[in-house]
Amino acid sequence: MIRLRDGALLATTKLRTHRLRTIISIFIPGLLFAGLIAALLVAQGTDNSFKSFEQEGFNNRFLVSATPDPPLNGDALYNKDTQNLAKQIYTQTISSKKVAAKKLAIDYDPNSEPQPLTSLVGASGQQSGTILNVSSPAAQEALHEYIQAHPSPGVTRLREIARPYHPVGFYTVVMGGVSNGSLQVMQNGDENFAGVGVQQHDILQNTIEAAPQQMTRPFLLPQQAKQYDPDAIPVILPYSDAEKLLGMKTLQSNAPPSQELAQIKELYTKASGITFTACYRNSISGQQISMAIDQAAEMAKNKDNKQYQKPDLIYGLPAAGSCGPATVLSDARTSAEKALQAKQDTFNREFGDIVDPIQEKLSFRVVGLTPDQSSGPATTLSGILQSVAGSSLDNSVIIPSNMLDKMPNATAIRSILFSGSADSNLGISEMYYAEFANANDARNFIADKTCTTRVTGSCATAQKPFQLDAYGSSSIALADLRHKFTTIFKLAMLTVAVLAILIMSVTIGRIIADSRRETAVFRAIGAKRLDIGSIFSIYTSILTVCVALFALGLGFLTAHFFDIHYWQEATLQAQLIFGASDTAREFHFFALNIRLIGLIVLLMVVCGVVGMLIPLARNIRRNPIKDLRDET
Amino acid sequence: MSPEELDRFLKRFNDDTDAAIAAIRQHARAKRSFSASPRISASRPVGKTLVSVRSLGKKYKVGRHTVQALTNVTCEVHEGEFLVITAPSGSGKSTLLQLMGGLDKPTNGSVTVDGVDLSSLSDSRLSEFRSHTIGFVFQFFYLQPFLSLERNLELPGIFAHTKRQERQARAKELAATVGIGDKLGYLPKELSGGQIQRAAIIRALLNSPKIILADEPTGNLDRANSVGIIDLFEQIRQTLGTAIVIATHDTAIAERADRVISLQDGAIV
Repeated sequence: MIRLRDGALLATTKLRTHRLRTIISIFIPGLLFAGLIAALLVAQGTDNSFKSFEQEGFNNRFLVSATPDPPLNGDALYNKDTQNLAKQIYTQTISSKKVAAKKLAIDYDPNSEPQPLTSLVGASGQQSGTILNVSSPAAQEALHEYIQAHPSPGVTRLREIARPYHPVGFYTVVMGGVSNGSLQVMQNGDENFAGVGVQQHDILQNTIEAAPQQMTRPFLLPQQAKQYDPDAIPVILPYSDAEKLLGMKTLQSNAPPSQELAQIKELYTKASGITFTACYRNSISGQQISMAIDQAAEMAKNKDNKQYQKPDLIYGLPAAGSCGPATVLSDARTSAEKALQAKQDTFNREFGDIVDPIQEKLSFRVVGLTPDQSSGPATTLSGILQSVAGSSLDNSVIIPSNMLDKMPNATAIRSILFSGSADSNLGISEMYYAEFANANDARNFIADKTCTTRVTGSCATAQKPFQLDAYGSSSIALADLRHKFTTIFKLAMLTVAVLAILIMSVTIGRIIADSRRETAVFRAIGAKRLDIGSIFSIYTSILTVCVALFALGLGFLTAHFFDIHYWQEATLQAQLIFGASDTAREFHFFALNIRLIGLIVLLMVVCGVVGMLIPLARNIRRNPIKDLRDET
Repeated sequence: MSPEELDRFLKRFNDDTDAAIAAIRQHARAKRSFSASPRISASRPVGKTLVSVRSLGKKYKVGRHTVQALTNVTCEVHEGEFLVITAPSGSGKSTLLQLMGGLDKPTNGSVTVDGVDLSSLSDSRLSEFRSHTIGFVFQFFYLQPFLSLERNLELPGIFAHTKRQERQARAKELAATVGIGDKLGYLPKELSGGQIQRAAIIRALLNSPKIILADEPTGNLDRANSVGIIDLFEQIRQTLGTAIVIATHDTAIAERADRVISLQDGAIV
């Protein structure tokens, strides 16, 4: 066989002889492979950056929320047994109250008791049935009985149905709520009395939840995770609540990302460890405050009216920062009136009504932040990306239960903050979460075991007692995206390989065909077929090396250029999307995967060899004389 | 080649050919006295048989038609002989030359070169045999445009696996013989037509073949230049003892040959 050096000498002359075809052979496949390499470098960089940012929040976890089928669904309200029970309780209550009232010698009007049932009126105006009146104490008691008889499936049941899907953890989140009272943030340490009783609580107009540390840890601020304050309830706030608390201006939805990021950075800096107070008042305390305000207004209005008779019992407001009870400014009631009120209080207490005012000042400490969950369709790029890749806890004030339980007055706090959860959540007081090691297990669990909760009625089978959803982040969707990207990338590699083979095959084929006369001359002066094959093999190798160098160079440059131009913007977006507490993280589009780059180079070599083989095999067998004869 | 280019080429070639012949003669005188080239009388063999062609026939297809290029041709070429195969265009002389050189396989009959039946050789062995025994000269020169003259001359040595130093020395020696020794680093496009033609001829000599097969070597040349080239062949034959077989339709060349074979419609007449 011809010596390598001589073969290289003859092969290089072809590069110059067929300059245009050589350029096409290098340029087009090179361009295709460069695209592939650039895409690979960018994809690898993106993936690495995603993985880095996924250390934030829930993004590297596969959580599934399990919402139990709510006990207080339509069935309960229409249930005849429940309705009958409510009527029975109603009758018994009236009967008991009549006896008690007679015993205490006070008046009692049975008509003051709310009816347990409400009539439903059909389109024709005729009664079509009855429904429980949920504001009636008798109906509420009947519903309570119903809940006891139809308990929600708990975490034990979740464990059972999740077992085949290899779960790695189960968590329970307690739903909070203030019943029969209000909880108000004391802005600048002062209570806004006008808002007392208007709403259950304004802290900070979100629900309250107590979540285990496995769920809260990713959202804790670094400096706060290990700090302990026995007097302040630790809370993780959504960004919007924290902004409100700090008096920061809420940005417009179309604010530029740089402004958003600056806002978040400021939020993380300022929010860490800040404390605020809120005043809890039960309904009686709230009523007394309202009464004090109304009375003061009434008296001011009638200041010059000599006919005006002041109330016998006049309440006054406590000091604004005290969260104390309403003061009694004057009490002109007679002894008989006071005695009658005492009897009435005794009567009310006997039947479970709240009589005494309770108020308590609660201190809170911000220990973490969670991005706001988008509630509507995203309209900006960062909004869309955030909905795809962002991670957050619920739009709630989250109390890390492990931190709460360390507080000496944890039980008292729970009795205030978690007193009315079931009432406000259709009888659900807890939410459950299952964690899986990978997206497949989580996805399969959801697909197999979720139940579609109906407005009325319960889930179809006992095997599907929960409504299951991916929770906290789009890890499952991102895993799917990764899988799809890998599939698309493989297809792209295949397509590029086929195209490159075709292009190289055609161009090399043309070059070989154009070289027939030259081949014939070589054969005439002693070249063997193997020599001719060697020359074209070397030529193809040179072409392949050129394609590889061109593709690698252009691919690296393109990816590098892309990274240089977009990394800052991407970092900005990623910090927004992932709510990164580590603001030093950067999002880069450029990362080397030696194994895959090697694979592409190998693919180029394969393309070159395959591209050469067909035309070479076809041409090398030709009779050289035929080519000389054709030429002459 | 346009008519203008052809004119220019021929003019340059005429000048160069005269110079080349003078150079060869001078070189030959220095080496051994070969300036006087004795004419060998026509139709008289000068040595033992080098090529033996027996009952050779060749058919090939052109489109849907089969062409009988050669029919029952029998002839011989002897060592050191200057043989001309003459025939009108399309009469099979090139085909006969190619079969003699083992570039094509006969439909029937046999070709024996230097005692070796070419049909008994594999393709690879045939190439090897051809490399060392036969030199080809083509009408269109076929020099590699992007190789220097030196590398072009070396080509047969490359395929014969001759050592680099040896083939370079040989190329230099041959180039000097025909007066182009100072052009070794030039590309063909930098040479004149005459220089290119001489290069093509001495390229065939690189591996010291026993026979040179030249197909219409003067096909594009005028009379004076044709004579110059034939002089060159004759002097090579005289100097190196190489048998020369030229296929041409030019009957004037035949006058210079030791022997002439005439073909008509693929058969010797």
